[in-house]
Amino acid sequence: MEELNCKSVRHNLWDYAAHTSEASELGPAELTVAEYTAIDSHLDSCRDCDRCLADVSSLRTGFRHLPVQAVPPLVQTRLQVIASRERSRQLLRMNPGAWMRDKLASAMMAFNHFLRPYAVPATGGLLSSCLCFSMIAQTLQLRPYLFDDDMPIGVFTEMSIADVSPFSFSGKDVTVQVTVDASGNVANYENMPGTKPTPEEYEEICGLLLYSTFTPAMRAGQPVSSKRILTVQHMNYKIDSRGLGHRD
Amino acid sequence: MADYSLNLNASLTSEQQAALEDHALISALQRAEAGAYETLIRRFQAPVYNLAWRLLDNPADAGDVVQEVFLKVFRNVNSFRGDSSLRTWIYRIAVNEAHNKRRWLFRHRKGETGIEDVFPGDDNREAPLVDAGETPFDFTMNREAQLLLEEGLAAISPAFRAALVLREIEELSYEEIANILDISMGTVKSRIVRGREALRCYLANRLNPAGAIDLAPAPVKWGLETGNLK
Repeated sequence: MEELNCKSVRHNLWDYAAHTSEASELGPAELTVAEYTAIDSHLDSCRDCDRCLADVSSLRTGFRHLPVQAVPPLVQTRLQVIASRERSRQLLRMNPGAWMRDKLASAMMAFNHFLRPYAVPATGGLLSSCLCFSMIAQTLQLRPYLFDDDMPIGVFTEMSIADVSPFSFSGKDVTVQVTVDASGNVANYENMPGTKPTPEEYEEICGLLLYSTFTPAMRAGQPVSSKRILTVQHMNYKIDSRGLGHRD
Repeated sequence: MADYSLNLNASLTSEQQAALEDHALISALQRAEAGAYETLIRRFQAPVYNLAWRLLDNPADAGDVVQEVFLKVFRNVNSFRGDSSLRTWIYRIAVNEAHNKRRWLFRHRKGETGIEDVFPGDDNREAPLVDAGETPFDFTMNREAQLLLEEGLAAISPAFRAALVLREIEELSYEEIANILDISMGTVKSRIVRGREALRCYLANRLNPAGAIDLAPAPVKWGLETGNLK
């Protein structure tokens, strides 16, 4: 091997010192035998590098004699706890049934923990709502229908004839559509298609309708105008000996 | 307590025997044997704690790192393929955890003042193991040298420090360090050389602040003439 200069020797002094140290267990891979020999011969001839080797050796000795820090008891205890817990996990992983049971228990616990924050507010809310309802229920108008003569106000009732005119009708049967206003008066009437009364019949129909009284149609309790189809039939009207009229 | 040290064949090298012991220990851990956990903790808690302590220079943070390291080891023992030795694997986790811890501290502990800073006289480090046979003068000198060396280690770059600690204190080979730090062998050597140089400069400045130190060929000033570290 070619002769080394001081810089390259000092570059390898640490590895050289490791080789020369009796306590070192480092393998021979860091320095070849040729390198070791070359450095050795250089150190024999160079006093400065030899002093550097002494300093490197003293530094290495310093490193080796650095105090070994004892592990604090608290850390040791924590390590024991970690080991115990991890061993339990490892045992669970090796036993699928136990693992499933453990996961189920963990899920149940997580579910319970999830619900716990809501338990007090939910219970309080339910109780307060029951209390408020019991206080308000006293004032609610919830009486049931107990009156027979009560008129339903939400339905539509048809117009009806309250009283028929005392005049008779001598013609054939006629069908008319009568319009009765909200006050119960006949507002109009129309012949139905296919019927064509004679002028005499027309006058009789007018008299019959005008002198009849009607009950107007009701919607939501209020009288309204409405239409209805009426059939006027032939009527005979007799007066008995007492002066009372009778229909045949 | 279970003993996972094997003595199967006297012809086995120490490395082969260590590999067999590691394999037995890993198998026992995968079977969740109680003694295996105890053995692993007993074997590695002190080295991991000291490594973390050197990398972070804080005993409390080192304790946190040790817990994280063992937690990861226990949880990932089933996925350990045995490509490296058990020690290399655990050290790699420790170095990564220390790196993460340092980054976390850098982000979250700016401006934070610990109680130990309020009472500077209290040294909460654990008592070092010292030779009771040395004289008080030797003890003082050694202690001074140790503190100086620790200060120097704490002062250099974390990347260089990790490589230097693994090499000089943990006495790992370049290949193991490359595995632990997940870098190439050339980078390992470069970091170690630069770490040594940074440490040398720091010590030289501390011991002889007046003059700078030349790498070559002038003799170093922090050596025997100015104060031997030994």
